[in-house]
Amino acid sequence: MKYLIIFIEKFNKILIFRHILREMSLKQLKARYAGSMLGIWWAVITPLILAISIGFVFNKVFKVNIPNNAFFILSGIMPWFFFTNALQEASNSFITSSSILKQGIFPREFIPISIILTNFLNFLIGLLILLPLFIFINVNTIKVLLFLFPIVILNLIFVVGLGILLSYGNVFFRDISHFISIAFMPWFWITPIFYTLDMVPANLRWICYVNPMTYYTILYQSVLFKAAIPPLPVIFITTLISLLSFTFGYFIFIKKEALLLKRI
Amino acid sequence: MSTIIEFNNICEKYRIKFINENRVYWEEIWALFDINLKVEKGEVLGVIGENGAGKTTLLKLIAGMVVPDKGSVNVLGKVSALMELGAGFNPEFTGRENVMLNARMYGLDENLMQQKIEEIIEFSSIGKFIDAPVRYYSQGMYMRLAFALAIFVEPDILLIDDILAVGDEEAKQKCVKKVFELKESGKTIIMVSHDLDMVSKLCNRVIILNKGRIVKENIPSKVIAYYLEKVGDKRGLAVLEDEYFRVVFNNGKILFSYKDNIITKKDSCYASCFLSSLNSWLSSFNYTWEIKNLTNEEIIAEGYAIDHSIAQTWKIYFKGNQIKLNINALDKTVSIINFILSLNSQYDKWITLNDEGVFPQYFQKTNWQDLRINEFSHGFVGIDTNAESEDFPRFILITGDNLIRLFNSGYQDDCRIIQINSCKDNCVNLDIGLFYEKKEFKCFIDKERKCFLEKQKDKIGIISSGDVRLSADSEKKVIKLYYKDKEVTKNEGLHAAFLIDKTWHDNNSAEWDIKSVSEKEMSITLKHENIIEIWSLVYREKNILEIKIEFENDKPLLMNNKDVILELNDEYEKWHTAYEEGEFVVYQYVNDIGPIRLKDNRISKIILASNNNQDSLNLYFEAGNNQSKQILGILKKKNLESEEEFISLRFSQNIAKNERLISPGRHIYFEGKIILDKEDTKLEEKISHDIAEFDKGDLRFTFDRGKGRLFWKGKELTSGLGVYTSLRSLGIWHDSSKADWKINQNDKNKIIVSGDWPQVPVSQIWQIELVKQDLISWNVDIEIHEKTTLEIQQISLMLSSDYLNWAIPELIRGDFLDEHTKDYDILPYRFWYGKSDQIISFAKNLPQTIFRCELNNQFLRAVIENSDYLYKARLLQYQSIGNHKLLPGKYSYFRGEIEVVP
Repeated sequence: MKYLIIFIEKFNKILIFRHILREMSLKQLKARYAGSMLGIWWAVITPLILAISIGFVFNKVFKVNIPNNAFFILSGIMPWFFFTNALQEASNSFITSSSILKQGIFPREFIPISIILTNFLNFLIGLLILLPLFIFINVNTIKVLLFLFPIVILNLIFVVGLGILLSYGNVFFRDISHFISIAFMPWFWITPIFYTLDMVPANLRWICYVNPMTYYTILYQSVLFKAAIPPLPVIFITTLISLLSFTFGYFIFIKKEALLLKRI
Repeated sequence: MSTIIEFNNICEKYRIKFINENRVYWEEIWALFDINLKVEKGEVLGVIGENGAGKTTLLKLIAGMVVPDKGSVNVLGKVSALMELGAGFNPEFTGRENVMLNARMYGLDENLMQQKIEEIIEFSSIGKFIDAPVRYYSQGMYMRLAFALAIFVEPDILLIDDILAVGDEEAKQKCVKKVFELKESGKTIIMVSHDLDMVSKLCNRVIILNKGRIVKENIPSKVIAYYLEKVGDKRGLAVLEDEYFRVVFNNGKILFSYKDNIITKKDSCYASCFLSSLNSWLSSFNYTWEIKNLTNEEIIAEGYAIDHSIAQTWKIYFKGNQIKLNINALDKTVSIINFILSLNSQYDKWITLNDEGVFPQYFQKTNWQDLRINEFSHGFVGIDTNAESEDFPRFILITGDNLIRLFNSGYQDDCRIIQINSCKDNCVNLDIGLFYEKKEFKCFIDKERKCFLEKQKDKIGIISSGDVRLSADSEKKVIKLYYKDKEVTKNEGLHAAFLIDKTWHDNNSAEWDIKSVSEKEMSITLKHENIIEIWSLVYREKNILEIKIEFENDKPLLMNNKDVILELNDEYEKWHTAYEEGEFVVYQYVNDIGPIRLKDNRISKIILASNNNQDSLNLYFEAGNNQSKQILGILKKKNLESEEEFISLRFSQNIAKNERLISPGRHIYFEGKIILDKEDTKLEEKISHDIAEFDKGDLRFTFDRGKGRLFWKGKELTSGLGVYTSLRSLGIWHDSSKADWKINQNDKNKIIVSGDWPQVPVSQIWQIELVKQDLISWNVDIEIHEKTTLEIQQISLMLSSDYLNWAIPELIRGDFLDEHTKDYDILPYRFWYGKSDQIISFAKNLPQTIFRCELNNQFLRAVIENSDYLYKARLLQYQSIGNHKLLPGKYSYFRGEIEVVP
């Protein structure tokens, strides 16, 4: 019960300081591409190049047979980039922005959250730019575009929860950020981005089912690639995962915040 | 007054991991323990303490950056923290961008953002660089921008964590000023700083944190005093207390405080040595100090240099109401050692044994202003405060033979500085007497002054009468006159100067011996090489000072000049003699000497009148002996050192050639009087000289000491020097009026006079005869006694300025213009020069005057000119120019006549 009150207080505070969050995210986004020539276009180029190259290799070398391979991969890879970058940066956030902490009076969690938001914006911009491409491939995509909104939001909530948790943990155990950077590799393999679930042998399919990212990926693929309404059970699962991640992450954060403050 | 920050039993601990080789252990450190603090709205609180005392943690608690382990913090209002400069600045963005992007994060209000951003950019005065990436900024620019951003947030509560220390002087000033403004506008400020000066100026209240606890909490002056005592290497720290007076020795510095008020300032008191080996000064606080002995009454400390050799020992102890200080420099290379005290500017009066004054206002920023009391200190200075209250004791510093100098610091440091210079023995001994009551203080000073005067008596003789006083100083070799304790004389005062052979002797070239006969009578002996001056100074009647100077010689001497000089303060405006009056206005200065010209300087009395008020008065100076031979010279001189002007009155005696050889014995040199009087009387000169004259019909001619005067029908035709002759020898003019004249014959029609020139070995014999009605013949013969050079020989008729026209018959006519030069004798207004034997001059109401001469000399020329400003008359002259080296003998000088034509 006590935590609920704290939660509500927190929520109030966030509301008051929401502008700061917005400013921070925007600032960080600008900072990311400050001095670079291509700027925000990197949000497009990176996934595009990767999708094409992987698609090419898998099509020609591994002979994975999926029509419009590149787009299939692209639809899954963009949220993946968001996921990995966001978490990577978030986990380090408390350490790199210690100076900001000393300056402003705002809720501490803004630091990882703003980082995640920055990446989120990055992802959204890339998505928006590439959307016409998907529509070009399959006109029907337009019909199901509306579903993107809840999917994207759910994705965000999931990442935020996880990000807060990791950022907190990293303050005490610096290994976490190193661990994460390595962990993403195998995680990539077990997420059906460049293959479909049915290509996985049945006895190993459980690995994919355990991986939460599988479900988000499926949702993105269904909307962007298949141009179909995302399957309801998957939506249900993702909602659950998101809420769990968020509450758990935040809960830990609130509980141990005092300890955190002394460390940074 | 509402409390907006409240700490209740705050405890804050940190668990810190210690890693030492293989051992790892955790320890709990209490950053803050049991802190109870209340801060009112609008208060400026200073937090000071050593590093690691918990100051930053305190601020973090207020900001909410840290959650208290125990207890609670209540904060009302918006908080802005200035703990690290430039937080959130991205070097790639421009200054403006950085400000705009971070504004919200710093807490800048949404609505005011645009306007505030402009203000920020202006305050930081970065100029056009505001649009350049921050990467290019210098540290100062960066700091200014960051500070500007942080400070314009205008929160209710501002926390400053020692960031005001960064930046150049100008930036710092600006920042401090802004903080002041915020204070004025009622913001609450909590300030952590190590700059105690800033803290004392800005804060209402100061707390000291030590190891997490509040150790002291009070107004700045009291807390800082306490802090200064505690801060520093403990081995070199010692405190002596005497009731309320504390002496703190802190590693080469001494601080005084009385009842918690700090008396010393800024650098407090320290010693400074000049090391001849390094050719530089080293201050005592640069040594490492150790207290060797500390009791209730004394501190003995030793200071060590870098090489651990003992450099100084200090001994401080109380004795009665005095603090005695003994500083010894043991380093052999020390040549001068100074002890410097910096006192609060409360102390604004200084008193020495014979003078007193005030510390003036500060007018420079950092430089010290020397009060120049060096010569008067005699190792004794009293320092008084203007405060009536007993909060600040008064000091008397006594230091034997050492020199005391007083300075005013610049207004930045805002303190009075006393410097004790010791030039010998490498040691400074200083007694500081403490006086808490003004009466005691005054009594002591009066007593010391009396003693001092007593000691001076042997060296100084004083006689007085009423308000006037004469003091003769055998050390300074000068006689001074005082009226109501104010000095009337100046420079060399009253003294004699005489020329023996070719050497001048005066008061400085003798050995003085003063004998005070009584309160009103004094006798002084001045021993020169061959001659002894004996002065007798007596106040016989009221204000009248009688001077009698005699001299004794045991060998025959040739005394060419006998002068007595009185040098006075330039406070007289007018003077008058028996013949004329004038003002102290000089037309021309030569080498800082300006002569006041007298028409008749063969006088023995003069009165000087001052222009103003009660305390200055008329001075009467009289030469009593040889009155007819006295010549008075008045000069205005400038003292080269002090650039002050003073007046010099000089009585010179016109000694005839044959009277110059003085035989051995005792002779009278001078007798005279000086009266400081209030009455302005008329003067009369005893005319002990004769006037020769003859009178026929309308014409009358008189001869008076080298000046002839013509009268017609009672009106005087001549003016000034009248009928006279002049000689120029070796560049100097000698008029006949300066010579010594004897009347040889004075008949009804004839006058024969002979005159001896004192400076030139020349005599002239004049024959003036009334040949017929209105015609006078004038013949002059000159006798040269020694081989001498006469460049110009002149015969002149000085006519009154009523004469307006002149003429050279059959040649030229002209007017006398009304212009007279201000320069003495240089190129007077000359109207005609040429060979002529007649000069005629016309006037409206006066008869024509014709001046004729016999051209017996081919060099003789006629000159028509105006005299200079002194006489403002017309000159008809005949002169012969040429470097005439004349051998002794009698020559005919002039044959001529003066005719008056009605």
